[in-house]
Amino acid sequence: MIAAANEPEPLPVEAGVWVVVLGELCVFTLFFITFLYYRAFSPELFEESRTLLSRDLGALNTIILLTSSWCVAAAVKALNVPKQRSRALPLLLGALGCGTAFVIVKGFEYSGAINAGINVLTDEFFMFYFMLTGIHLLHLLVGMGLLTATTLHLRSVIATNGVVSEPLVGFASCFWHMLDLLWIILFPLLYLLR
Amino acid sequence: MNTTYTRPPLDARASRNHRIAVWCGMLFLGIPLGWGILGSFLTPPLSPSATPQDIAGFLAEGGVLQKFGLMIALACAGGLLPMSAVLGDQMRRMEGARPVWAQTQFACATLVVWLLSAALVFFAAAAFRADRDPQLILLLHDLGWLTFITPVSMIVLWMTAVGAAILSDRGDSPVMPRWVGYLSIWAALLSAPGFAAILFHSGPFAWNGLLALWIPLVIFLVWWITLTVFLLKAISGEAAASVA
Amino acid sequence: MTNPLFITWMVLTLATILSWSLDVPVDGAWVGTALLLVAFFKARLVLMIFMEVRGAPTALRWCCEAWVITACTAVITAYWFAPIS
Repeated sequence: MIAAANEPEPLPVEAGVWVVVLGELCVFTLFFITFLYYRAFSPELFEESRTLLSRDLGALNTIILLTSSWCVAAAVKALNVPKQRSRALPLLLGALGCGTAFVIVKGFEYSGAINAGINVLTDEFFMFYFMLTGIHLLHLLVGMGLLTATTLHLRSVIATNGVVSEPLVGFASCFWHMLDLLWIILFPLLYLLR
Repeated sequence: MNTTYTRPPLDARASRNHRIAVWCGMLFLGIPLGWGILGSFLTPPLSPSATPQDIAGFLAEGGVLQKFGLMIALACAGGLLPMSAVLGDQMRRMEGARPVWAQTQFACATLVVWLLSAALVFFAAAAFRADRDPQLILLLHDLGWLTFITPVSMIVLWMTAVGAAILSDRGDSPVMPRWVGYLSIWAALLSAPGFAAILFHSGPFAWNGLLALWIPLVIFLVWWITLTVFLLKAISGEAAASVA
Repeated sequence: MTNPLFITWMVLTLATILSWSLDVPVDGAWVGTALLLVAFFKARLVLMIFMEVRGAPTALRWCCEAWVITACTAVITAYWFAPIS
């Protein structure tokens, strides 16, 4: 079930990281269900407000995050092979670039809504839209901080031919994938569900 | 490695004091039990959209029992401080010489105790005179809840500092298991959304909501109890090493 | 081209485009359910491949699969409280 014999062992991720990841997944699932619970009381309102969102920007952001996750996963794989370590840096920078793009697109979305006179207090749907995507965005900023720390760490490790900090790489990469995962569910939940 | 950091050994007397201090932390339970249950402020919490008459009625009904609940909570609030002192002491072990998170954490604890006490005093003031103008009671009730729920900065920083110290522990035998550090980070992430309670008079993000009140409260208790368990273990470990 | 990471990314992106373009004026409830199933399929893929849970110890794998199944069921159930046709 694991990779073929000549593929390197996956970087071990500390057990504790999964406390964060599974914990966040469970709590966000609670958020999702809470959203659907409130939706059940005023489905027409939610549907009407939903159509004001830009599904294009939402889909774009989904693909941006998917790409960034791919970069992070590829970077982690490169770190497993000693000769390919330096490949990890441009990949991580790519992920950071995608993260920045996500933030910029979000900025467009939010400012578009605000220019149309919509804000977090407009109605219940938009309360959930701004709060859920806002909380996700805050988490994303934390994730970008972790990726930045990892990039800086790797840059010095590669320059001095040192030892990679597995805990940092493991946590930063897992946390980033988690952000991608959460958005994968948030996107259809908020933007597409009719 | 923190080879240049020497630490005085933990003798039996000191270790006993540390243990007592950690158990003082359990006094924190006096707040949800006293204010929340005896005082009925959590059973169930009044919504931000409650009318001034509702609130005045609630406080009038509360009577002496409610005031006792508030008194117990106010008396217990300080219990967080000795535990935080021990936490800081063990974090110094994790960080080595020139600790910064240990100091930060203690400052956060102090401010959290102050904020909790301020919130309790606002509730006490609301309950103090039954014949007060309901609009003023509404104001005091608002002040109580907003002070309790919205200044998340201290809690988030507190939990992050603890997590950072545990995860940066590079010693041969870590003071606490690393998953406790990750738990702290997760607790910090979950405690952050509380500040949004300023925006809402109803719903899950309001001060009586799932996401602003119940999740942060539960996660704080989980975090606090976990720290209590592992601090006691850390003290035993250090005391045993000092004897050897 | 046969790099498992690339294939995963491709599958995820195609699934996203599929969901995004699904504007079928058919019974909304089933479309919504399909969208949610696709979403959790994608989430599981990220867990298994990008987060390398596929090769992880059984206990962790079980926890992750349990989350996928429980969350998917719970969310779809909550959705069915009031889907729009």
